[in-house]
Amino acid sequence: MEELGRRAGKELDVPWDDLRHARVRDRVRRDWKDGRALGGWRRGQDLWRWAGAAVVLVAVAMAALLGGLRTENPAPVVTVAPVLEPAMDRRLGPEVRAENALSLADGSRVVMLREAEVSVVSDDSRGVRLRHEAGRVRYEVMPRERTPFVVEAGEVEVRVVGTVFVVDVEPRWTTVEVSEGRVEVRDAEDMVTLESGEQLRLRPNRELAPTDQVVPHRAEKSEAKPASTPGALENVRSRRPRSSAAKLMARADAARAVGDLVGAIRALQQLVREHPTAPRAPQAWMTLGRLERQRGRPIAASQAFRHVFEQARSHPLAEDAMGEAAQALATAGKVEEARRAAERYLARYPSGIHRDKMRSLLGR
Amino acid sequence: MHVAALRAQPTIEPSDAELLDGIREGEERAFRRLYDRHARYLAGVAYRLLGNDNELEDVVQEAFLEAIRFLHRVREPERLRSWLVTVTVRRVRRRLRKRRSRRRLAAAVAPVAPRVSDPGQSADVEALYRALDQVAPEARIPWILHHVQGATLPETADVCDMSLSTVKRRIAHARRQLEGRLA
Repeated sequence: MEELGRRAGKELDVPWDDLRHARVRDRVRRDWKDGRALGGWRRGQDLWRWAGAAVVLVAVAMAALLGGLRTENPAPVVTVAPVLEPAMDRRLGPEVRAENALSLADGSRVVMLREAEVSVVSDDSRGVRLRHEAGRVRYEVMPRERTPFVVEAGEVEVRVVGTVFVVDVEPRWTTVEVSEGRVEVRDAEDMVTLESGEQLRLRPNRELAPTDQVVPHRAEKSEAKPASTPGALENVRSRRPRSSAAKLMARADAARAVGDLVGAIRALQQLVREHPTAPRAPQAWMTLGRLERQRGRPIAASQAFRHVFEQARSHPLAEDAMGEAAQALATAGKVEEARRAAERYLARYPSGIHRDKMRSLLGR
Repeated sequence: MHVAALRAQPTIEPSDAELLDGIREGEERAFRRLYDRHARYLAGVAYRLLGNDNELEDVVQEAFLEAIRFLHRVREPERLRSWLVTVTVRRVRRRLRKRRSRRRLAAAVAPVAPRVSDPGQSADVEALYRALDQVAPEARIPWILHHVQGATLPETADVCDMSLSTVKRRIAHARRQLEGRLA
């Protein structure tokens, strides 16, 4: 009975992918911000806040009654998008697609593509200002003559006249890609203009020359316009991947569902090769490791697991990957390497979930 | 263009205690980091306890909301994960009780179908969870935490909020029931 339990613990494949992770995080965050998680220490503070707000509301109502105020625009709203890649977007129904896009009063649209968080700072007669916290978002902005449309992304602002562009805020990069029209990207010290077909990639914590990260983001197409300042940019020139990470992960899942291990492994290998820094990459390596183990290839499994903790040491899967790598090495008969891996695991996670197995590898 | 600190010091990971302070101050970044650090682990615990993923997202969401609500009760921030597991176990226990009462009323219950990496193991694991579904949550949870999740007996007692002897008794009870059903 205990053995069956242990096997279940090892074989249960927890269906918690990046999509779910971010979706639940957004729900918790929204409820937290809405005050649904409040209690105890904040309740008292909030009573005072509500009392203050009530006083302000009464004052505003009085002023409106006296004819001094006319409200023109709705209050700013905060929206947190579900996590969807374009490919999945097409697969899902229209209601989901509708939830995935925010329509502004002037007809502009904010389409959440991946792990996106955008809040509306203001949307009124003076213009639109959005704050882009994370993820990949496409902005389809209606032509504007006077009022600005501004997206705050990290330390920069993207100002628009009338255009379609994508902003992608990742831990390692913030990217702005312009599909149509023109945008200005500014920070406190400088400004860069991007035109259709150009991409600006900003590296955090690094001083950059004014436009040295501007590249044609459709460089493989002959009609792409040249970069604003062509120069030594080959190191950041990026070819568009043939398939998105989400699509490849979905392909791997579909292959696994029908028992096609080789097909699943191929899709995952393509994912880690074409999207080595994507948020899904550690999960892809982890699944690769499990599939290789399942195929009876413990060395390949240990290498895949090693990628998880070597590339993303603070990733939630890192601990599991480190433990699995040690066990895979032991299965492969690499006793010394397995012992070293077990020692590394115990040094890093002395009370980790694999500690008993690691101790047993060490003969303790 | 100087792009200052889009993400400050990515190599320095704040401790759980620092993140808790940040959340108390209403910092979203602190919340995100704390969630990213623990949610997958909690999802794993919840999934092993539930045996299917019908309610997985709800449990993790409820656990985090309850945790945020009662942050002021965290006395030992360095043991935050253990405390979060306790909260998760409590939420799962409620769900399992509801599931059993629904079954008693002959309502439709989603079939138990845990997902496994190795299709060759799926029949055994499914049979185990079908049998576990007949075991009361008070015995099922300690048994799974100890034998499936791999928690030690003192850890199991801790997160189940029970004494060590009670946990041992309940695990033994679950074992007897499982043996009867899987024989």
